[in-house]
Amino acid sequence: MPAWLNNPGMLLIIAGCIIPLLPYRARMVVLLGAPAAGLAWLWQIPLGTTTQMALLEYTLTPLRVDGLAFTFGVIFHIAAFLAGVYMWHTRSRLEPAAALIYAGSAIGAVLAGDLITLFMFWEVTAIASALLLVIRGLRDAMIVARRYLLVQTGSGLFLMGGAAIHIHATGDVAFTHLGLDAPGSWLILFAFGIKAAFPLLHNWLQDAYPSASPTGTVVLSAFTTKMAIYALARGYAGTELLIPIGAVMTIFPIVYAMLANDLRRVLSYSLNVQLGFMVVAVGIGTELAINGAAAHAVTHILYKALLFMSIGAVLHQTGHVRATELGGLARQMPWTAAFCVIGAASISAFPLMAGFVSKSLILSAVAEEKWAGTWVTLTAASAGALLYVGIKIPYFAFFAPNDQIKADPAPRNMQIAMGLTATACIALGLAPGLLYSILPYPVDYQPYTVDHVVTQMQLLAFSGLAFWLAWRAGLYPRPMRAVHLDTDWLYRRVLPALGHVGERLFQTANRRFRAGAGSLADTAMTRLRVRYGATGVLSRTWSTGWMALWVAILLIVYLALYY
Amino acid sequence: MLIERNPQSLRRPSTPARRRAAWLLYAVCALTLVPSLFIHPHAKFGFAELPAFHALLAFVTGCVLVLAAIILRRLIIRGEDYYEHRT
Repeated sequence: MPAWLNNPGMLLIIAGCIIPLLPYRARMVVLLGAPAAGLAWLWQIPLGTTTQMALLEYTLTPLRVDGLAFTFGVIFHIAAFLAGVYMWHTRSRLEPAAALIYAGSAIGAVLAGDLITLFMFWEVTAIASALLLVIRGLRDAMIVARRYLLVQTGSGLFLMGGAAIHIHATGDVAFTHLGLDAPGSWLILFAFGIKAAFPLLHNWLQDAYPSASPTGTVVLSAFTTKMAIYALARGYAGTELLIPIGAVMTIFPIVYAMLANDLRRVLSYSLNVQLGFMVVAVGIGTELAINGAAAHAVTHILYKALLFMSIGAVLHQTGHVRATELGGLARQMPWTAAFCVIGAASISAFPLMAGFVSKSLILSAVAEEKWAGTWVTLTAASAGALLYVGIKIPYFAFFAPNDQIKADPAPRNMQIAMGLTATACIALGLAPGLLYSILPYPVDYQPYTVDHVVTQMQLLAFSGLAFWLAWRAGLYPRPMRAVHLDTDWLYRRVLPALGHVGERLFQTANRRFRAGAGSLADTAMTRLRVRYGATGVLSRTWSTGWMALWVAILLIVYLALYY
Repeated sequence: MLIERNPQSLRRPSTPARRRAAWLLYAVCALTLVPSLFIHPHAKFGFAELPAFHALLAFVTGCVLVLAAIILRRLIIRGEDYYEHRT
C-alpha cells in the first residue's frame, strides 16, 4: 500500500468519495462502517509508529501515531460514527459524503507528521465542511457558506505562508513544537487561531454553525475547532500568550450566549467558551494541562454533539430553533428532552458527568502552575455555564410555557444517536479511568475528592440561585427576535460601507476627470477648426498677385539677413 | 428607565410546582454550604480556602454576567432584518 493511503483518515475520505454512488442501504453501511473500521485500524497501530514518503525534495510523514494524535484520532472516529447514526434517516447522497470526507480529513490532519500534509488536510476540512453548508440549498446558507469558506481558506493561506517560511528557513518539514520564536511561527499561530476561534477571529463559528442543516451542525461542531486545538497543543504547548487569550475566550462569549435567540447560536457561543478552557490548558503546557486539553476536547465533542443533536431534533420535528418560538416540548419529545438535560448537566460539569472529570483536570493544571487570576476566571466561567446553556437550552426548548407548538417524537435513529452519546457522557463521568486511559500522558489524578465535589456543587447551586433571582426580578435577558452585533459587523456592514464610499469616490473622480479631459479636447478641436477648417485662416485661397508679393517680401528679408 | 425589566408573565413563580422548585433550590444552596463548615479545603491559593469561596464566586459571577448582558444588549441590539439584502 502506498504510504499516503496507509492512514485511517484516507479510509474515511475514500469511503466518502464512493458513498454518493451507492444505493441507500449500502450508503448507510459505509457511513457507519468506515468510522468503525478506521477506529479499529487506529487502535491497533502501536504508539510511536510513523510512515514516510518522498514528495519532490521533501520527506513527508503522512502518518504519525503518538499519544496526542491518538486521543484526537479516537474521538474524531467516535464523533463521525455518532453523527452517522444521527443522519441515518437522510436520503441525501451528498451529506454523508461530505461528513465522511470532512471527518477523514480532520483525522488525517491530526495524524499528519509534517507541515505539508497538515496543510493539505487542513484545506480539505475547509472545503468539505463548507459543502455541508451548501448542501442545505437555502439562499441564506449559501451566503453564509461563502463567508465561511473565505475565512477557512484564509486560515489555510496563513498556514501555507507560515509553513513555507518555516521550511525555507529551517529545511525541516516536520510538525513538532514550534513556539513563537521559530520562523513563520506567528503566521502559523494566526492560522490555528482562526480555526480555534480566538477572540475577534471567532465569529465565523457563530455565523456558520446555526445555518447548517440539523444533521450538518452536529458534524460541524466536532472537527474543525478541535483539530485547531490539537494543532495548538502540538505546536504551541507552553506558550504563555495563549493563557490570556484563552481566559478572554471563556468569558466574553457567555454574554452573547445569554442574549442569543437562536438556540444553535447559543450553543455555538458556548462552544467558543469551552475552546477557551482548552486554549488556556495548551498555554499552561504541562503534562497535566495537555492531558486536560485533550480530555476536555473528548468530553466536549461528546456533550456538545449531544446538545446540537437534541436541538437539531427539535428543529427537524418543529421547523423552529429560536427560543421565542419554542417551549413546552418536554411532554411531546420526552426522550429528546431527557438527553438534552444530560448534555446540559454535562457541559455545566455536574459531578458524575463527563464535563466534570475533564474540566477539573484543566483547573488543577492551572492551579498547579499558580496562575491565580486565570484560575478565578476559569472557575467563574464554569459557574457561568449554568446560566447561558445549562439552564437556558433545556428551559427554552422544552420547559418554557408554550401551547402553540406540536411535535412528534424525533426519528428513531436520532434518538439512538442521542442515547449513545448520552451514555458516553455518563460513562466517562462515572468511570473517568476510561477517559484517562486514552490521554497523551499517563494520568495520576482523582477527580472525585470531597473537596472537588463540594466546591463544584457550591458553584452550581449558587449560579443557579443567581439565575433564579435574576429571572424573578425580570432582569435575565429574555430572548428577543433581534440581531446582536458581533465582530461580523465589521465585514458585513463596515467593509461593504467602506467599499460603497470608495466606489462613489472613484466614480465622482472618474466623472470629473472625463468631463475635464473632454472639455479640454473640445476647446482644442475648436481652435484647430478656426485655424485649419474649410474657412480657417490657413485654408483660404490666395490670388497670384498676393502670392508673388509675399514671395518677393520673403526674398528681400532673406537677402537682408544674409548680408 | 435605565433597565427595562421583563414583563410580569415571564417573572413570577406562578405555579405551585415552580414555587416548590424554588424552595428546593434554596435548600440545595444551604446544603452545599454545610460541608464547608467542617472541611478545610486544600486549595492552591490562600483566598480559595475561605469557606464558601466558590459559592460567593458563582453568585457574584452570575450577577455580573446578567448585568453585563443587560448593558451590552442596549449597545449592540439591532432589528431582526439588520443584515438583510446587504451581504
